[in-house]
Amino acid sequence: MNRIFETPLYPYRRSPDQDAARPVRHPVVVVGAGPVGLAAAIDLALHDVPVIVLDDNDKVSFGSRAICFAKRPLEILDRLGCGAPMVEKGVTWNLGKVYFGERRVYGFNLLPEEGHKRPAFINLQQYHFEKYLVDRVRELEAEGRPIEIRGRNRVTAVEPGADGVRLEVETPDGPYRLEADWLVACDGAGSPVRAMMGLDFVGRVFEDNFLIADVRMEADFPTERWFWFDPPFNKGQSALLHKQPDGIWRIDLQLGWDIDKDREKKPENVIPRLKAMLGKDARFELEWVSIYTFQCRRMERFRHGRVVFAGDAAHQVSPFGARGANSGLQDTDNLVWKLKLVLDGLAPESLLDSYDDERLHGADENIRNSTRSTDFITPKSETSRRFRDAVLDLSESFAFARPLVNSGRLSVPCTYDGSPLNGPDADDMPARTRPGSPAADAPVAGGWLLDRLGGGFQLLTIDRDAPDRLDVDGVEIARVALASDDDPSGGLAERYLGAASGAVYLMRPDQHVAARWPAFDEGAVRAALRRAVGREASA
Amino acid sequence: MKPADADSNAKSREEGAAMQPYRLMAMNNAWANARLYGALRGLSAAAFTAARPGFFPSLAATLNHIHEVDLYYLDALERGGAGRAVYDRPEIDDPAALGALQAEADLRLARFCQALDPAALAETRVTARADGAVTERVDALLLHLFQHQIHHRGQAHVQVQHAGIAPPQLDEFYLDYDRHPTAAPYHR
Repeated sequence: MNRIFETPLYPYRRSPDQDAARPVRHPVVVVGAGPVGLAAAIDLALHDVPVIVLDDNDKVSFGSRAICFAKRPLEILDRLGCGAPMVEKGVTWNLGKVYFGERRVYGFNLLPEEGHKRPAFINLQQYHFEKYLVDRVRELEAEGRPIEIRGRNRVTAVEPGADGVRLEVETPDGPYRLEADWLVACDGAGSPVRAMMGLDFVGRVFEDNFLIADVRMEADFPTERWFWFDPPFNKGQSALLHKQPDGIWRIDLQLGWDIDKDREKKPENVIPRLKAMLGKDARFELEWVSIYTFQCRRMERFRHGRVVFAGDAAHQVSPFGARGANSGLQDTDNLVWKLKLVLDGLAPESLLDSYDDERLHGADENIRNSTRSTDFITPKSETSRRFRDAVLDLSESFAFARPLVNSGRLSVPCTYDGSPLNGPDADDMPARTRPGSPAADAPVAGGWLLDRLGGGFQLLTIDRDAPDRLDVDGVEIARVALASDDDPSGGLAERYLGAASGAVYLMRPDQHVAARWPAFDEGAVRAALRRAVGREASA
Repeated sequence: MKPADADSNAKSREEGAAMQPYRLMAMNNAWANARLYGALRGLSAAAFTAARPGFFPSLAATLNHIHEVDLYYLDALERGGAGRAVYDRPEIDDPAALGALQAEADLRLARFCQALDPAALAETRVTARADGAVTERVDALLLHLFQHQIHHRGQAHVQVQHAGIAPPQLDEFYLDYDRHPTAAPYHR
């Protein structure tokens, strides 16, 4: 069978750049055609910023790799125009169960309140995910948007300068040179760009090995996340079972530190482990096996002059909590509109420092959560193990212990509290939509709020008047006029008004709240916009 | 069902009932600490370590003492072997951080008590003292530990009030009459 990740999707084609007398300069070059690089490129193309994606491969990722995509990234993908096919193909899930030894001790439901377009999570193989992104790139190309993926183009040298970056690229036809005003490095955990620039990570490396086995089987397990602490089939370790589309199941088994990786990866050693878990008569076929270790680390800064790092190239977490690809998509969501304003001369280059401020904050939050989960799942001392086992034991009968069970605190959107771009907050309005927060969805007038937000600055008015358009030194603000009874369920009022009788929200192009007021005040909106584009230092 | 099984079930019910006071005391301890630390949410490190009347000179000192003595007896009960080395720890001046560590210790004690049976209660443990080792029964150690916790938590209660925070009631736990709603998750 020809598997999707074995088919070249963006085969090498000679580019005219390779025959140019002098290196051709592009506004933005993205390195890496993984989920994060492709999302960055699509976002740039939607902003009409010409973008070239260089990838050393010509296929989607080998094996399923990232599989859990959270609500906020799905909303970002909706903005990029490719959320729908992913949610349709993906397996939607909300329920999780936790086992300790042979006992089921705890169940949880991630389903958020009603009134959101997207579910808490979908499971979708990374190769499907990337395929849908490549489909979207092709669609944009067909529309004439300035986007191009160059397969089998491997970056071999990076020379950062004050006003741009020079690159050397190796291809099947030999090397060529390129220049970029801005380079976005999305080239993964082992980032060659990071290595070529001599930059490193700070943080913790965890000494443990985990076996991923994706198996194809007909099984009647429910669509839930099952997590085992110290299961009888993997004594002293942990295990995870998750459903993916096409009858594929993800099994994740902790192996411990002192193992022979090559030996453990062999099917003759993997299959008995799986049979111990699934039953000796279970019929399954191995699709992909991998052994991984992980780190909870990040670069000290993500922006280095004209080179900006995003996704795993910039930060890494353990897989517990699904915070890898999910945070990478929030990186580019944050970066691209800023890059666009800077390229258009509408914001100072220093606006990009706020990418560091906001996404370092996001990375730290993810690293903190992921480290805590890892410490709980793989206790490093006898005391930690006693505490862990106490929590698990008690959680079966005592509700107070359940919030302490940590089998992965699953990815939730990052709020940029304390960002220099945040403007004023208003009293009496809900904390969840304070400045810095991503917009909370709500059903409005037959559609969804988030489908009406994003891409540019917007003034969201609820039961308040304001002009339909405002121009602030070349940056346009368009109004989205709503009434609280556009959502008869009351969700809009609950999420955006609280005790206030009406509200005016300044929304950023990435659907985050920049500032909010009880009523429209043009001077205040203009000042908040200037701050949100980095033209005014925070007061 | 065979008569032998009926007998053993009755015996285990009886044993369970005999263990119940210890289990409930441990749960009461976990709940009371959670409630007390809940009242301290937002308290600054400066206010936490400020001088206040009491046997210990500050709220931080009182609560650190409760915590480290818990660690000492837990180590003895769990046969951790650390002995007096558990006292080699920095005093924690962030109430949220200390609260999280206290909750961990409370969970360990609760689990220890859940697993008790009459034989375990009659076991002995060697406790390391400054002037030598002393062998004690598990039931005596537990009763002493509960007494120690309540004794000092009462002192902390006064210091919380002195810090300008309304101190929460810490005895609304056992009776149906006045059980606080937050105590429910600590009962089966």
